[in-house]
Amino acid sequence: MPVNFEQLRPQIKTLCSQILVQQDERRAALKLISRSFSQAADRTDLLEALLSRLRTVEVSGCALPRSERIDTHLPAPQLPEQIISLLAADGSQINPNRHDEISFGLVNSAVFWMRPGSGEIPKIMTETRMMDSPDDQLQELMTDEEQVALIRDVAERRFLADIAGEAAQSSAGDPVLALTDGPLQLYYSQKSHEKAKPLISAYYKVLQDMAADQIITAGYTDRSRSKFVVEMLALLNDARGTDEKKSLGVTDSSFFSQFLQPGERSAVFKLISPSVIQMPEETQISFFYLNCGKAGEPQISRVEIPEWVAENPKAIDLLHAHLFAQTRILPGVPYPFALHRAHEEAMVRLKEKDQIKALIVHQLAASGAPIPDKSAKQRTKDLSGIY
Amino acid sequence: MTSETAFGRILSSNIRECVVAYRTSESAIPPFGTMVRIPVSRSPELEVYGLVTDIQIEEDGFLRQLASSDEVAEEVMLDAQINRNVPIVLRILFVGFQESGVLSHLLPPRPPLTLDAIYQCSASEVGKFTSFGSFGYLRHMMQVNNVPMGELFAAHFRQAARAQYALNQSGWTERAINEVIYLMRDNYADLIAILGAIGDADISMQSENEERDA
Repeated sequence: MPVNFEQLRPQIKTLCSQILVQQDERRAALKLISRSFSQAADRTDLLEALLSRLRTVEVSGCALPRSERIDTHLPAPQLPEQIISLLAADGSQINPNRHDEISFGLVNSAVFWMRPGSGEIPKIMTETRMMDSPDDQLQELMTDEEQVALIRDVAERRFLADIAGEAAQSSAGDPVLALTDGPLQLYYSQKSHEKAKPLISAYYKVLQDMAADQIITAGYTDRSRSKFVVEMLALLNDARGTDEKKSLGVTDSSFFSQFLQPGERSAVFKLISPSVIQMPEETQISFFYLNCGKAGEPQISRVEIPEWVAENPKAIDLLHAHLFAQTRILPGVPYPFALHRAHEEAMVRLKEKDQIKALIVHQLAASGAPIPDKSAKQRTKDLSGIY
Repeated sequence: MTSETAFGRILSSNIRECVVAYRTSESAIPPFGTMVRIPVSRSPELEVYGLVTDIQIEEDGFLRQLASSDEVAEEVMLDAQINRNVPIVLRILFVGFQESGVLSHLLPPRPPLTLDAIYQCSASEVGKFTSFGSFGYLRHMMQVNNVPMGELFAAHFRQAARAQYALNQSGWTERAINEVIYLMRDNYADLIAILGAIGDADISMQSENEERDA
């Protein structure tokens, strides 16, 4: 038996007790944070106080108020009659595996393009690219999953920007919304910054191209676990000499799930983080929270937007209205329909990976090259067992 | 859809029937009872003839969720029907074959292979196949067990009668029905079901008359 369930039973009991205790502690912490949030909202010197604090403290990710009061909560605007282009992109990848017959990497990006309310058939575009670096070099690059994710993210967003550019040209001035799954902020460790630099620059260029085309782009994070607003409050309270930094795992989502009604968005905050600070000004990131759930069942998502969208209230209203409408298409599943469809189209399945591998092996064999084999370890794993 | 355009590819087959994945990019699903032909890729001289006996539209969790919605936007509906890779699977009953230009109403000597393309028969192909010999292929239809036999006869007779009429072969329907009566003489219950279904099918040639005169 691979798992010893007898040993597991008491451990599960202990774990559940700990979860219950944590939940009680979080409820108490949430009350403190709610109070702290209300007090902060009333401060006229809020921004100055935070900026002053930020000059002396280094943060990994923190919210900063923009022009709206931080306790703003606005219902989803009515969907305008104007037909817009709504694009969503997603990507998936095959990671090279040295135990396979042939080690190769591949990125598959898909864009789903719909015009809500038009009655037109949505369009789907996919782009599949082999990572064509020499194998050893690729292996070195690919040992780092963060790097693979970065390659995929940049490829997917470049593809989205290109299609969104076409949409902007063909739409005769009608707005174009371009969504990606996950944050707009790229995640990479500062230690790998040098290696990732060309990709990061390429990504900035993607965002700058979208800004030039006036494309309203956003990164949608479902069930966000970020603590940017909680961190902001902690930072503020440290400045006032109190110590409430220990937020006991309270996330922004858990706070805003109490604060936002279904369809409502929070204030727009600016995001301060080491990677965002390095971004060109017009591409720096702001965000708001959106409750896509229903009464009694909040579902908080974080929506990241670049600077040129954040400073345009009409663009934010349009994004808010369409995002909320998108989460209403699949009953009971409050997730943007277009993003789900992009995901479906982008996903590389295991069967497809095997087919691609077979094509490469056939091509090699046809060229007279010796047919490679899997590693002994992989061959052993492939032997069918009784389980 | 013309007989020159493949509407799908074989997923699995045996000597009596095959299962076909329908290409959703095609404009219309071949109707129930339609006659089709399958050139066998490894036997260039062999073409298998069959009838569509079942059309199954598969579902998945996503569609199930979408279907429970009070209102589905037009573009969401079109996306689900046209873009999504939702498999539409057709079952084909083999009724004969053509090898080196010679027709036969026997079962094919070899089944088609996986991924072989399948085509809808043109009116002249239907006319040629159904007027060949003496209705030998009807016995395969009488052994169908996954759909009501009478419905299959009615759908097929409707297509074949039109094809025969276009070829000026009058009297085909009457001869075909007489053959069914003869073949089913010991199975009164099924015979009545078949005749009842044929009676419900519009195989009068009035509409074709009008089309031809126009």
